Amino acid sequence: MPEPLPLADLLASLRDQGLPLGVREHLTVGRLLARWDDTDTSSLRIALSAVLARNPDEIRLVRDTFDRLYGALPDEAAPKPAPAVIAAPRRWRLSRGWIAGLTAAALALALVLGALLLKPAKPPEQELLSNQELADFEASLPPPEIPDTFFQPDWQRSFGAAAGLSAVLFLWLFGVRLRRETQSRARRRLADESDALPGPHKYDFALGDLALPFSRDLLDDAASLLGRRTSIPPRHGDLDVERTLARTLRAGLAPHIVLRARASTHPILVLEDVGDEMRPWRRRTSALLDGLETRGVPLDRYRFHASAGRVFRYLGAPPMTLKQLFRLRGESPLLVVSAGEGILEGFDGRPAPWVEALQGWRYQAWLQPVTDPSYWRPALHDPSLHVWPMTQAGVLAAARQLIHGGPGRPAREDARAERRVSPLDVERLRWLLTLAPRRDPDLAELLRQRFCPHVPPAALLEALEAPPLTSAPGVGPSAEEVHTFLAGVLGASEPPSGTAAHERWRLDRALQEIHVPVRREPATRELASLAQGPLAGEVVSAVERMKGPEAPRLRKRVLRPALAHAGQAGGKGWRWTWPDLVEIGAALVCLGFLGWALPHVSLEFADEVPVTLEKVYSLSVGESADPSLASLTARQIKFRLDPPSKVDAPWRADLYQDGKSLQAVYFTQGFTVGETVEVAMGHWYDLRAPAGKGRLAISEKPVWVPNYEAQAQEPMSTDLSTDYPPPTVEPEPTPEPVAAAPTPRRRTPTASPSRPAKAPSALEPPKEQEASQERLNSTRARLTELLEQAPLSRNPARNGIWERLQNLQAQLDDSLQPTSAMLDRIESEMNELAKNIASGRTTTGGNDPQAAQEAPQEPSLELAAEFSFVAPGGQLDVRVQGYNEDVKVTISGEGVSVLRCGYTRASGVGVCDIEVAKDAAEGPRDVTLIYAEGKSRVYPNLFTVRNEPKKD
Amino acid sequence: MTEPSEFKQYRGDGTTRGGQPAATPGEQGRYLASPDVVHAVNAALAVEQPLLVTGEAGTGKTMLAFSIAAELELGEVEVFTVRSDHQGRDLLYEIDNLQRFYDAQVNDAAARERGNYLRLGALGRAFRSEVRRLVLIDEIDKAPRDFPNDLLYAIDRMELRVPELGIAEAARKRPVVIITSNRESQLPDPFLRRCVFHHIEFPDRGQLRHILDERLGNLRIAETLRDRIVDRFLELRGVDGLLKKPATSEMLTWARVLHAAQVGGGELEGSLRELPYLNALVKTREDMARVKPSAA
Repeated sequence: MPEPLPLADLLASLRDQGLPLGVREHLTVGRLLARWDDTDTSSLRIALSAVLARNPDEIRLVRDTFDRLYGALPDEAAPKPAPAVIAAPRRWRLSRGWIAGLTAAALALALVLGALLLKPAKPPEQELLSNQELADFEASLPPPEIPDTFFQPDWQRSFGAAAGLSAVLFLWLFGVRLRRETQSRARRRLADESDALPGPHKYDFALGDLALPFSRDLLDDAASLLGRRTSIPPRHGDLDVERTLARTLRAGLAPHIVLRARASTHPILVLEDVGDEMRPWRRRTSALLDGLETRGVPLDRYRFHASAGRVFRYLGAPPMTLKQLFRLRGESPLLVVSAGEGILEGFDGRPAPWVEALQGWRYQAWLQPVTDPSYWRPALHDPSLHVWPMTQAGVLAAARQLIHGGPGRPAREDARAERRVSPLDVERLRWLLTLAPRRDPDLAELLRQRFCPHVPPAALLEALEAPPLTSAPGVGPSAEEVHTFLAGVLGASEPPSGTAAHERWRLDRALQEIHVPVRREPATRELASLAQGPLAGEVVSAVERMKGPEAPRLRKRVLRPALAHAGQAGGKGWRWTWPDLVEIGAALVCLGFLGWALPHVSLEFADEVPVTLEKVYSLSVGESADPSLASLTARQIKFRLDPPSKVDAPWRADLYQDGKSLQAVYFTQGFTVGETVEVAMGHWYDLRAPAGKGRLAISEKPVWVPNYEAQAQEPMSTDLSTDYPPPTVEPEPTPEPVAAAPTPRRRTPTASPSRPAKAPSALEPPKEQEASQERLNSTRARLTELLEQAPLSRNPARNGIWERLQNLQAQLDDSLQPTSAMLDRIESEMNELAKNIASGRTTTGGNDPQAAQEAPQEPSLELAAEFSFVAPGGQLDVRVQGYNEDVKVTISGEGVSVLRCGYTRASGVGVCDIEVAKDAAEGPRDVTLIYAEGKSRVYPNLFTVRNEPKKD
Repeated sequence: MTEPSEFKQYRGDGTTRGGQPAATPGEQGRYLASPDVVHAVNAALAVEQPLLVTGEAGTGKTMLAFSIAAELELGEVEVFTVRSDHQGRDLLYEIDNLQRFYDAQVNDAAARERGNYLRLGALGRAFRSEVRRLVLIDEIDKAPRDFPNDLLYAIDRMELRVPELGIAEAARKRPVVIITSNRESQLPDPFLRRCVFHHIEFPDRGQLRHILDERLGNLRIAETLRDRIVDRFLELRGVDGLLKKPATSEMLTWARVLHAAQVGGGELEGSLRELPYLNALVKTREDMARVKPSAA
């Protein structure tokens, strides 16, 4: 696969935008890049624009395309400012787009901040709460207080305020109405003034610089071709000597022959379309036909309006059908000049009958003024119609068609090979037309010739129809350049003074010159002057449509005199106008709505009055009937009147949750039992209902709907020993089943101990539980006390008093349920350590701490006082002291093996899983601690294995 | 001074490759090119195509050619100022038949040989030169219609052909060709396709001050006067409907006149019609009537 050409995408994009780039340009770019030894992209951009462009417009196009494809570059360096000149401080002005963007950004920011601020704070991490604590916590919440006063709307004050606001609204609407009426009268008055000006009311542009659409050479050639169509045999006098000499001289003596157009026995019959679609091309068509007639080509011109079913010789002449014309001029060659507006009949796309009637002429051709065939109606592509674009090649081809019945050379494709209109072409013309005073086809053509001559004329068709552009397309001349040119054109187009056309010409010229910096001030004065005349309305419209940084200042200077003049004009016709239903209706609606709504939104419009509380309702809580999951978080509240005799209690009451109105509940009249409502748990509920005469019917007392979630689940306990009777291992006591942890509950954050007391075992008798808990608490307290007293010692032998106390605390913390034997052992060790603390020692290995550090390290192993089975097998707590390296534990005897030993060197505490087979032999077992290579210590008869029958 | 490279041959800083001042002939001060101009010139040198420079009168199109020749040390510039009766052949050569006829009448032996009356044109001299030369074809927009295509033919072939004498010599060194024009729209498309194009914008206020400083630095014009000269000059250029807008050269002339007449900055404060020595800037009667109605 060949490599792509360098910068092929750039060249392809430029070609798509209408730049005629070919192989030569690819080679040139390749040659440029071969010599390129710079890393600066901006330099390449400039060099490429120089190589590829042929005029300043194309330079801009190349640079813009380069920026689009390869990223925009920073602006070119501005020339150095003169040192003596101090630039005037720039006054920053924000365009409407910027203001809208900033406003949107500020709103978005405000929304985000609001969402963040109003977002409910994440509840702090809550700790688990036992059922009892939860019940205590919930019971501590106070019931809501029922106020003995309520707010009664003050309708008089409310409707008084509403009436005031309604009056303001009415006056404002009526003022707007009067102002519009006045403006309307002023406009009519100004229109009358401008109509009273002497005509003409419009002026024509002086387009002296507009180039002829067809060259003289082309007209000469076409006239020569068409002149040959004659029944008279050629003679020597057919040579136009004068023109032949002129052409030959112009061609540098290269011989050029121009034949004289001769009178023909059959003049060429021309059907000229004068319909609306031909309006932009009228000048083009006239130039061609008039030019041919001037050169002696006999033309028999007929006209038609879009449809050639009826043709007429001149405006107002009696029309005739195409058949009648054929009878008169059937021998003449036929040339149709039309954009094809009436070629179709109806909506089904059928060609009109007159199109078929054209086939009666033997020699015929059709010239289409739109040069781009892509704009043609599909029916015009029918080869039998011989339609040619009105280009140089197309005109000559049409002329040959009329002479020979065929185009000859150039071929049809050659005649139509003109550059297609690109979207950018249309945009450029639209921009030029946006700046023009009005959409005149000839002025548009002049702008095209002046500012974008390479844009095909066919682009005018679309540009004239398209709405104005709001911004420049990025290529082409600056707005100031165009306005300067248009001001020049207008300067040469001055109509007779004192006419309406002259006033409008002044306005148009001032509106162009206002964009030219050096003429801005006089133009502003001109606009201000016009604003005080009959064109004040047009001045106001034009100035209000104006955009750009100068627009506000201009409005300030021009609109005031214009409006003053308009006001004077309108004042003469001042007349009272009665208010309409709109103002009255809006005021009444405002009055009713505000009068009702004000007491509900503001306490300023309500009076606080005392009420008598009457307890007439009673509430009861029951299980939810909802079988779905919602029943876990909802309960039923049943209502009833209590006592039932109080049947005058309101049948509609409001259910309050924690003192806030939740929903309405209804009692069926005549029954004392109300409906049942599903409510959320963990809230206070009560009923309230206004009962008239200063009474408030309330429930007897608020009810608390507790959280039953914890109680809903049965406490779980596991007694593994009953399910799996393992071999009993000593030492005693027998492992106790562990109660399941309580269901996690949350509570509000409160100061809590670092580790809350564990719940007592469900299987333990309550009194024993309390005693065990008290002993555990006292042991913890004493241990904490000793830790505060113990000297800190971090010797490698880990035999310091502080470390041993730490170990004891870790044992307590790690043990889920310390047994009494374990507590005995810990307490005895604590006593020993307390003695050491009292004697001032820091270690337990000897009197001299230094000597203790230097003593050889030999570990001592201690089995925990208890272990629990996870049958078959068991868990053995080991405790290694005085050693901080890894150890290995082995157990002697068959049927007992160590599965794994998790040992924490830092704390010296480990847990080993041992497996005891069911058929293991009974008897004592030795535990061997291997603490170094070749070093071990045996602890004989550390525990005993005993088989016991399974309990049923 | 930036280092030259294979691509960046022309730097536009008014110095030669050796760092010596490259002053353009007949002018005071250096010619300082903008970066756009520098890149366009280097692109034209790289792709070996003529450089077509357009722009308003007085923007320095012609001086650019002299600046290139001076910086690249290409020797004397071969200037060909186009007239409306020129043909493409005139760029290469012409045979002075009139002189030969005269010589023949006086029986001069030289008249026997037609080669004695061969006068090489600017491009012909550049083709025959042993060193690289710069050919300036000035104001090509004044040329007849076929001239640009003839020029392209000659440049494409890089050959000096004189059919009358049977001469066909290839160019010894490819010359640098600079073409200037006031309007690019009159030139044929094939010609434009074979040229590197650059349009010189009319200098803005800052650049005009810089030009005044550079060109008339020896006059030591006061800064306030210099700024007023530039301001009033630009104001005058903005007058609507001038047939010939004053160019940079006219501004320099005006500044010289003001300096010679010892005019101060304060005397330039009035309206345009009151400007002293206005005839140094306004060159036609119609323009003078537009600027100064009393003069009509």
